[in-house]
Amino acid sequence: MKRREFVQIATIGSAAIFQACESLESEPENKIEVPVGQEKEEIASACWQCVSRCSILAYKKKGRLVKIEGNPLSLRNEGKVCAKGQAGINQIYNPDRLLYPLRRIGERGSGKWEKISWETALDLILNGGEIEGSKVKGLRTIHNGGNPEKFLFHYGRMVGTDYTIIINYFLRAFGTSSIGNHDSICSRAGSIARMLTGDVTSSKKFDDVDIILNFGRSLIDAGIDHIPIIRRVSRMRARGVKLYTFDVRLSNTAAKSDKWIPVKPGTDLAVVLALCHVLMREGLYNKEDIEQTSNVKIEDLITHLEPYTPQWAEEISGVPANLLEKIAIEYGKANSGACTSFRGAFMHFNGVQTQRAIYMLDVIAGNIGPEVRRTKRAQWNFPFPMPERPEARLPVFNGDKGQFAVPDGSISHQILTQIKKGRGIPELYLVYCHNPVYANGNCNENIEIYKDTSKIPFLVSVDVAMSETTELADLILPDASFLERWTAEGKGTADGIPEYYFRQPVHDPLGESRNFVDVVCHLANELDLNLGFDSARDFIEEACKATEGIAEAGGFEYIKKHGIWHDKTAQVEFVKREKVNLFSERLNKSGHAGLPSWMSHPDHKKLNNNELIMTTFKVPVHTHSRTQNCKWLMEIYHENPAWINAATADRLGIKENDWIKLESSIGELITKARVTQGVHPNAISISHHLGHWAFGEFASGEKSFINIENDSDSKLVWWENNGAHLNKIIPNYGDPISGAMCWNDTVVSVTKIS
Amino acid sequence: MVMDLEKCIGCHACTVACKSENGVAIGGSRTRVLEQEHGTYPETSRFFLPMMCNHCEDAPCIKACPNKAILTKENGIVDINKDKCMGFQFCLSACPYGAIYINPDQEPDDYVKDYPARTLFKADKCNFCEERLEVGLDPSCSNTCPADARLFGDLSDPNSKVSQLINGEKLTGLLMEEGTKPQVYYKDGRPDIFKVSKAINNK
Repeated sequence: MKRREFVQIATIGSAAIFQACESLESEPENKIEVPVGQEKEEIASACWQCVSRCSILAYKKKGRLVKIEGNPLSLRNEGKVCAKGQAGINQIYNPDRLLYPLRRIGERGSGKWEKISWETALDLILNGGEIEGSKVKGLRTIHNGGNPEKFLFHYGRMVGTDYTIIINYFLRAFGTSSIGNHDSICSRAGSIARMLTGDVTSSKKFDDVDIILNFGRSLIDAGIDHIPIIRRVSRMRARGVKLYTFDVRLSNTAAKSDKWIPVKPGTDLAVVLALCHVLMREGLYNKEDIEQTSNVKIEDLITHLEPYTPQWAEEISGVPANLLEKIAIEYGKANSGACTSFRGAFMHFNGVQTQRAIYMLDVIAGNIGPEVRRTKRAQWNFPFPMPERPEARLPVFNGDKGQFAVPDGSISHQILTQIKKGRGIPELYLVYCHNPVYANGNCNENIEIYKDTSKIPFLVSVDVAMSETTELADLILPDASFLERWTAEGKGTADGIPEYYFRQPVHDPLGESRNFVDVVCHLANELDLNLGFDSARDFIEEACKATEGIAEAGGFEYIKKHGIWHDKTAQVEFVKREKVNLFSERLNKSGHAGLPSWMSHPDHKKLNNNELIMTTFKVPVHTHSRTQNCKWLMEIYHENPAWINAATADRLGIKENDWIKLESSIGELITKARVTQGVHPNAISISHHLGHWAFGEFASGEKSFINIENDSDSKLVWWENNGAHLNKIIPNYGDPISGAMCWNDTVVSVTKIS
Repeated sequence: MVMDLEKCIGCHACTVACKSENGVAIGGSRTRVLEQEHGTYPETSRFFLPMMCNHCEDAPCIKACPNKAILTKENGIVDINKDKCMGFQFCLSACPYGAIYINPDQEPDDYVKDYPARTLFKADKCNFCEERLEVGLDPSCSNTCPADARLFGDLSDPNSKVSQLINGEKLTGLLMEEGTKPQVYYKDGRPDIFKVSKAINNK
């Protein structure tokens, strides 16, 4: 960083900032020095911009990564990679990247830091010490003191052997099960529905059906398994498979469907119940199949579904009754069909019942079958004894007692409110690859709680770049980007062929950043946890020797060179299906309907003239919140106006590009209007991704204080608006059954700003 | 190049592939994907339109350049000779497709300064990734398209992959009425799209 810039920053802030900057200034001017290698080099690695984790080829010129392509050997992504994946280069060379450990020297969140050595940072984590006059406990004291659960580990994304090493080895050996994830803001309502219902995997491959009913899933926009699913859906469309998409908004998936059927937010459940009703009424079912596949008697099902007529569903959802009739009959008469769904359908107040109703629809339509189709996924063998999962866990993961019917697992977006209520104090709270302040609802409350040193004495964040959460930490450790680390991955193809592959570094981590998995191995050694390995790479090399087929194929070196190894001997297995619990005893006992039944959101029953239901979505070029330092992606998508139906906009006097104010029970948001024919009249729809305030220059327009000015494109940024972040006005609700975040239910009053 | 509009899903993988392959600066663009909404709620649809230089047989940019810096090569690629380009920008207004831009005034970083797309003040546009073609690779945008919507090949060769995929279907180009004889073809069953593209360009 240049001297002049320091002075500018220093004059804005206090003397303490100046001090901090002084300590940074003593470092070499340009921290990004990439190793000089061959003129052109190809490295087979794996993407990690999103959870799809496609296989990639990384190309370097003179030691610097310049291009990412799909690895043609992959049977999943077939040589293709999306916009996000290719912009992974921007993550490595992000000018606002964290390149050395930082310790807070002012109040939490004041933005005043000093650069410290790794030695000092590791000593702080291990042995505790002092942060701005307050004593904090380190891992050693927590481990030896008999309360290992006071080490709370909260991660956003961790995949492959990163997960195995940190969760299954390190944290188990340490003795803590105080582990938060991001499931409750992702797809928890869906996974709890599946847990309650049982294995509903069809006996048929998704790709082989004739008709698909899609409820609120952005299959080809931003689906889980993004590129692989695009490949599959493209082929299905070419084959003439019918695709009907029920969605609040005309997603790209809806646009590419045979029909888009707009649904009032939160009413997919009514639609699905009516489809079930029509199938039963029309006799488009097989009594024996239903009774053999599920735990309900046909008479009970008929009685249960009798009131859910298409006319009833039209009243609630706005979907015309005759259209529901038509689609139900087409679905019922098709040779084979499949429903698919995601957040749009189930991250709602009634989401668990919605997902269970979708399972019910496929049971009735005869799409499940008597057998479960089991495809094999890659199963690495790790030749190190894995410790037992410990019992010790802070009571902050399952909401208030009795608040949720099925609080199993971790309701992680409520960890902070549980801490605020005093349910448990994590002596050391480590955030890894996560940004709860931004990614959960009610951002302002999250900030307040993270700032409270009496509730969270020692907050550590391990991150690649500064974030809204990381800026509140006491200690920041710079992580290697996904292109600078060793991870062994394993997934499987739709045809059941396991794909074993590596994420390998394109070069050493920049600056002083370190692969956190290696840091964890070091911490484990210091704590005498005896994991049996010293680094991520060691671990993977040993796994290659121990995993059947890989050693014979050429082991570690083979995958290192080619990126992938396939177990082509694997067979798809068909196993007898356990009964599908269409009737859930557990729900029934907890006071909820045992059979999927209508539940209406109390706030949605009557909406005032300017009240709309705010829903969220993702665009193809961004992940939820981790790609906004990527300049190539921000150039494509940097503004997220609120989608408002043209008729609604007209009623409220709102025109295209007007500034509008959205007011929820917890706050206000100002953004632009996008007046469209592509959203339900009761909805207002805003994408995630944008409105970062602590990321760097490409995300927010503001350089962070660690910016190293290494990118000539910085001066060419032409967009001024960096979008708005809607989570600020979404409360951290949980749905009454699973406790999952209700992303798509917030009622907001909308007014034009004059 | 044949763009299959039925297949294009508006994912922008091509946009970023081009950006990294050619070292295109922020603010510049050799290819882009436009979106247009049609119809009235609830019968609404959205179309995607990948756009780039059409390598026209009768290219207006060639005629517009006072310094004869734009030429059609033997292989049919319309290319800009950076040495001759004076940055006059006549080609920008001559091109009906908006496919040419002027590289911005910003000294590039060392690692991109050798990319032709970074030549300061000079006009720049798609050249079908000619360096890739020379070694038998598809252009970067076709190479990554996850929906196989951008097919590259020799349409005059009936045995080429692209000819096989088109399978004798009628193709059209963008803004045919301009008389540019574009060499980027669009495959689609809905001619209304093409009226749209003109509307977009006239914006």
